[in-house]
Amino acid sequence: MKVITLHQEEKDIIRQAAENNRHAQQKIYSKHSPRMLSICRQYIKDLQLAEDIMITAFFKVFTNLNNFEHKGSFEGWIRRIMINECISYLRVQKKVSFMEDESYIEDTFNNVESHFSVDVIQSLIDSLPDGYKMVFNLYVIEGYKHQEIAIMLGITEGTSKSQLSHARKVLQEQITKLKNYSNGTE
Amino acid sequence: MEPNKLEKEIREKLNKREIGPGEMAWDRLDAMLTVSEKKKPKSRVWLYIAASFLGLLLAVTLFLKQEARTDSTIINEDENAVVAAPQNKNEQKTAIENEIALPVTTGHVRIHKPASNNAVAVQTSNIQQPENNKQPENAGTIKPTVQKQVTNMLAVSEQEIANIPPEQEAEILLMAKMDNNEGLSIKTGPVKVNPNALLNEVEGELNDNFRSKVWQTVTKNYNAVKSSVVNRNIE
Repeated sequence: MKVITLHQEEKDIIRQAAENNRHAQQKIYSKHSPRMLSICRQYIKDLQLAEDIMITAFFKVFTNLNNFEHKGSFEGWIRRIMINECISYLRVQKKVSFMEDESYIEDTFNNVESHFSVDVIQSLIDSLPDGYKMVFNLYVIEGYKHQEIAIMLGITEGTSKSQLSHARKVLQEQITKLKNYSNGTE
Repeated sequence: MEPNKLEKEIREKLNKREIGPGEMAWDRLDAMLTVSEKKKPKSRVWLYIAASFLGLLLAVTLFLKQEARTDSTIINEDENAVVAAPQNKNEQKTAIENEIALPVTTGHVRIHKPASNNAVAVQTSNIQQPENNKQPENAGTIKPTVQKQVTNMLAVSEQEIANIPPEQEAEILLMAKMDNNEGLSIKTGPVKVNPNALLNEVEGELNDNFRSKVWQTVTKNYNAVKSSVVNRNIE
């Protein structure tokens, strides 16, 4: 009963927010903004810039609330808008392009474990070039398939696989360096 | 290339992470939403007003065009009716004159059949009196007296004709027509009434009133649009 009640409450809030009820909109913003800013931060290195993109994305969320069909989760819908906004910024503003390179290397990530903090992980991802980072985030964190990534970024499926492979290689090197540093071997 | 352990760990940690936005972030979003909400209704109202005004103008122009066409047809009909009506009137006049002239020429009063008896009776009484008066006089004077009587009768009959009201005159004419089996061109009745002319007169009055009403609504709407534009500019 509680789950149904919560779902109905969320529906009511969404309906009110679609009617430009500012209180309802602020509720949605307060609930989802921390996680959404985290997502934007995965793609955008600068936190202030990531916040600007998040605000722009929330504006689109509230102005297009009538398009939400209640088929999937509301958070998933907002998340998709955030990611699209980040990709759009990187491709248009920063003009990130992808090398059409379909060669990829078998990765040896399988047995590597990491006990790094989330900040360290983020810094490792930040070290990746923008193209590698986008594919890595979409594949590893968001769970998109290469076919879907290819459509979203306007690249081929082979290029997507290649970009991921390169990203993994760079990350592996970075992690190895860190481990060696922490162990004091360097 | 499925996600490995490291990648799964990265995903879990990053999905759990939350970064609180700055205090001003909501204010900025609120301002953006307020601006977009203000813009939408105004433009829509302006569009609705403009669209309704254009629609009204279109309707008025179409109506005026139709009216112009009907006016031209009515004018043509009026001219025909006017041309026809005097002709009919002339015919009626000549017919009446002929009818009136009949008793003068033939000496037989047909029209005044119902009244003729009275007239005759009157005349006879009048005649008798002069005859009675004239009896002791010479018989030679009978002829001139008879002539006088006839002329008196005719004069009286003419007076009678003049004194007959129009309704009776119309009836008399109809009866004369029936007797003579001469068709007057009057079909609608003894009193010639042109229905088309009457209708046109009424329609003309109606159109004028309706036209004035339409013009009033047009000016009213124009003033409303003008005031709304001024108010919008002030805002």
